[in-house]
Amino acid sequence: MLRLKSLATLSSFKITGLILIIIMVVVPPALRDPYLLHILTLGSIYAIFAMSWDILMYTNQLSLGHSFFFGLAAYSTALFNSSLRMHPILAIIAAVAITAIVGLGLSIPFFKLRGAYYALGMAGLAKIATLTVTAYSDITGGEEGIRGITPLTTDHVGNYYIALATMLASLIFLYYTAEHSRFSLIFRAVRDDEVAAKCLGIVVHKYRLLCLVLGSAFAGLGGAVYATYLTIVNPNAMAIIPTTALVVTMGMVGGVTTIIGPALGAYLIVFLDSFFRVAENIRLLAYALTATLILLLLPGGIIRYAIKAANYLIREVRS
Amino acid sequence: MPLLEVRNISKSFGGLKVIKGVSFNVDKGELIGIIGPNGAGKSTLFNLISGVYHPDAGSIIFKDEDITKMEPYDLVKKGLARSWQIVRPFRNLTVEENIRVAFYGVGFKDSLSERNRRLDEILQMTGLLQHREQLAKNLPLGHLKRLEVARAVATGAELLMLDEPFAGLRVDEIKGLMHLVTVLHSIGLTILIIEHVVRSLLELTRRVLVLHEGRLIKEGTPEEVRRDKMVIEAYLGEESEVA
Repeated sequence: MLRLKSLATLSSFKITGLILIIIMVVVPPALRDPYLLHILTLGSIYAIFAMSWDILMYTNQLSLGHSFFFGLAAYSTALFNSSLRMHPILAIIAAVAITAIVGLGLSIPFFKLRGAYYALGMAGLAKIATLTVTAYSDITGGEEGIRGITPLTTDHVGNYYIALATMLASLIFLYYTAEHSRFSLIFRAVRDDEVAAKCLGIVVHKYRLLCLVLGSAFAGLGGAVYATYLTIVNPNAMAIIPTTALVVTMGMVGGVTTIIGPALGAYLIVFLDSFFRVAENIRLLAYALTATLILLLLPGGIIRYAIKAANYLIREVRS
Repeated sequence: MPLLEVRNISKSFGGLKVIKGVSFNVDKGELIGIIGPNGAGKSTLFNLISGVYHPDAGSIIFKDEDITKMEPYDLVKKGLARSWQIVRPFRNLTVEENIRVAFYGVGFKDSLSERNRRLDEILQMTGLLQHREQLAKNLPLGHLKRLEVARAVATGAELLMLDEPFAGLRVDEIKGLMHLVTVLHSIGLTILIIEHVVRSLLELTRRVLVLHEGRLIKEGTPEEVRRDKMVIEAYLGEESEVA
């Protein structure tokens, strides 16, 4: 397990974070490059999604079907907006509420599942949901999906700021909950040994439920913002491949159970994906190889090395 | 009224009957040992009492309340805590944090200063004060065994169930831990202890239960147990040093 505070003093950690936030707020809009803004907007949306996957890992819930929540919220937003003519902001709120409630409901069938069984159960759920939205084409548009979702704004900079602000708010909330709230200690105990935690009075399923509801709600937030940004949603948003595969890669490349790591992983993977688009024939291979190399060469994820590098730089600047 | 009453409990895993109609009582303030050869069902018995498993038949009464079907987290809050034969520390938490989990688990309503005072007291008592900031995964076995006891004590337990606390320890470590058990008993804790280091257990306790193939074959003072023919045949015969 990686504990961020053990790698960086709090002050240098805060300084690095603040510098990064300032750069992200100021630099991309100043460059006025629509493609760069698009990549960063997608990166921010996927960062929310990756952090939502990571919060589940705090209580050992490896989800291989997390795209279910992302896609459910994306479709809910699309349907609320296109069929019920709901304002996109209200559609987003309603979609997030629905995914949170569904997450709560799923805690019942998933109550006793652990490890590979839990992971496969979630994967099965995502598969069933993907087949369902594909089959009911009169409501969901089938393979084509739903088009014409009202965007929150058509301005590139506006979209970028919306995604960035949502990502930062999610990051602060999830990071505080997972690392600094009174739940933090219990999450870490449950992750290390559920049975021992139970025998010290910890009602383990309560904390697993909390993580599942948070994970589904924030995946829903990512999915809902994704739908209003791209103004289209299709079954891929819910599918294990590519969407769950993408979020798991982001989490593992970034550094599991760190919240910030998966967010960084999301930006990196989105950048890599767009970078390799110049060679479309070998894009998937190059992308998969790079992700594999990162996993092999940087065990624990890029966050560990990013913090070490930041600490080194700050020490150099101070001296 | 006994603190704990185990009434005719049985437990099977598939076709294997591991506990067969075991009954015994534990009075408040007692220090009782449980011995038996490997596979006798000692740890299963602890798992049944602590709610990790539930018995197929029989009942368990703690402080006059039927706890047979209760979950471990509820039992801890009622004053029943345990340690593990194979240590189960929260490896990525410090010693201090491991103990704080127990405070959270039982939901202590004390002030922060009171909790800190209690934490220091437990660390001092268990000899872990100097290691409070160390991650559990970096501790040697002797300290981990103490941490197991420390966490159980931190729940505010009335009945402490220690599962082979001396297993795998050096002689000096066993002596230190035996002293800790004596101290805990002297401050009023009721202690039920499973042990394979029979000599140590017979020195420590006034009453011993002997399990063999899931049955309670003898209950008595260490002296009575030492001399029992059935116990010698089933178990002590193998342990030449206790004869």
